[in-house]
Amino acid sequence: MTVWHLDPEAIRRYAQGALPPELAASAEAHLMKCAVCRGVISSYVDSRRAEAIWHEVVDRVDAPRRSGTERMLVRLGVGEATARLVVVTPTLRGPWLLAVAGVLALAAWAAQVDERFLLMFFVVAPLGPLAGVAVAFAGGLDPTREIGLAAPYSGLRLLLIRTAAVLAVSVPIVAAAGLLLPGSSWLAAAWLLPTAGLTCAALALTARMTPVVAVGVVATVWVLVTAPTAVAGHLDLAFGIGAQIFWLAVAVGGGLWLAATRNTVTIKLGRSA
Amino acid sequence: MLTRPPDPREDSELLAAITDGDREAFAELYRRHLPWLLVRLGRRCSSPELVDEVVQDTFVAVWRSAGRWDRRGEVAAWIWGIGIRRLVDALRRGRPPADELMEFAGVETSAEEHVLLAVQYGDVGAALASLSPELRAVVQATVLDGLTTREAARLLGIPPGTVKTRMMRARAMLRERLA
Repeated sequence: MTVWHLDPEAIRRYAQGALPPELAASAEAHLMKCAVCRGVISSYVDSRRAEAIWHEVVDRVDAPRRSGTERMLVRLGVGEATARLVVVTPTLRGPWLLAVAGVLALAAWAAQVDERFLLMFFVVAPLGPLAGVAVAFAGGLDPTREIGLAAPYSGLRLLLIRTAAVLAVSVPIVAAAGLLLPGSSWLAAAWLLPTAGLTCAALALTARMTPVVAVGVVATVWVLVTAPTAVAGHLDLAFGIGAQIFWLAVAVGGGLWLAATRNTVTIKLGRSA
Repeated sequence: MLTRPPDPREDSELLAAITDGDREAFAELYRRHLPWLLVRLGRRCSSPELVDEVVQDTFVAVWRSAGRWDRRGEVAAWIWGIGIRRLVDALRRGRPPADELMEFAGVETSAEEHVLLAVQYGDVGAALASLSPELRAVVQATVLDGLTTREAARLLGIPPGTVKTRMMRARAMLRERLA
């Protein structure tokens, strides 16, 4: 340590911003080296201010660190609360996404081997994103469930945010699997509108039942209708132009219905009540 | 938390303890380094709220990256390096500090007056004081605060090219004064 120290009066004037710039610069250079003079400054700093900053620092140090995905979302302009909601969605965890990718890869591979399995791919493809939506709200899997039930947060908003997040992640997976399919390229996209329609229908149904049940109902209807036609070989009936327009209509209708009733309908996110 | 008995450990030992998650050591480091950091940053930014925020950021960063201190030089200088860069970042994100500087320049005696007053003295302090506030701010940011041209430009709210020309002019003036 140096033996030379700043004059106490100079420290006082420096701390109060009254020291001329060249003397302040010299004081700062000394302060970097001298713990004793740094200590003297503390008497000129408002202890309430120091205390307040300390509490903020401790709060932030104690807060769980945000994951890379969450920080990326925040940087892209998503609100902090929304980013956290998206990140804790059970569907977006690795194992689930791996499972969806695995099943679809298998279906695509089977379709390569035998043309008949192609039909099954179309039956299964919309179920991937749809099941993702259900899992996002499945009671035991959602870590924010208890908080969500008690929080004064719009159920519809939560539903839409999570559904959008799930679709944003799972649709590319299905699309990638679709590209592996044999046959013309439009086939690879034929499941898109049915997926949109089914998702909107499920969302609209959440006014009456929990998301899990709603997705279950929609998925069951979908399989009951398409599986027999697919097995019978009438692919056009389920995926032709007419069917595509029908699913587009369902998607638009469901969306409009949700928009129209957004203030009057209570979305049931909790236990079926 | 500011009234506990002093901790005998050196700053470097405190940082090592912080790496292991020692909250007591962190509190002690905060106690020692908050005051001067608050004052020093406060001299470079007119908004106390922004300074508080930057200081907060700085200590959170110290807690998280204590292990990244390279064990050379003063811990205080390391903390200052973090703090001044956080301030530059905060200023880039938010409002430019230029209006406050202009106000300051108006109160200051004119550059000519400075020069005339300082001609009779030959030392560095007087030479520095003889610079206009604009030139002195650039000298302070680059030479004394250790910022790059680009960082100094952000801190002062002027283009990097201006920092370079002002620095050149300041250097020429200082050389002349000290010759």
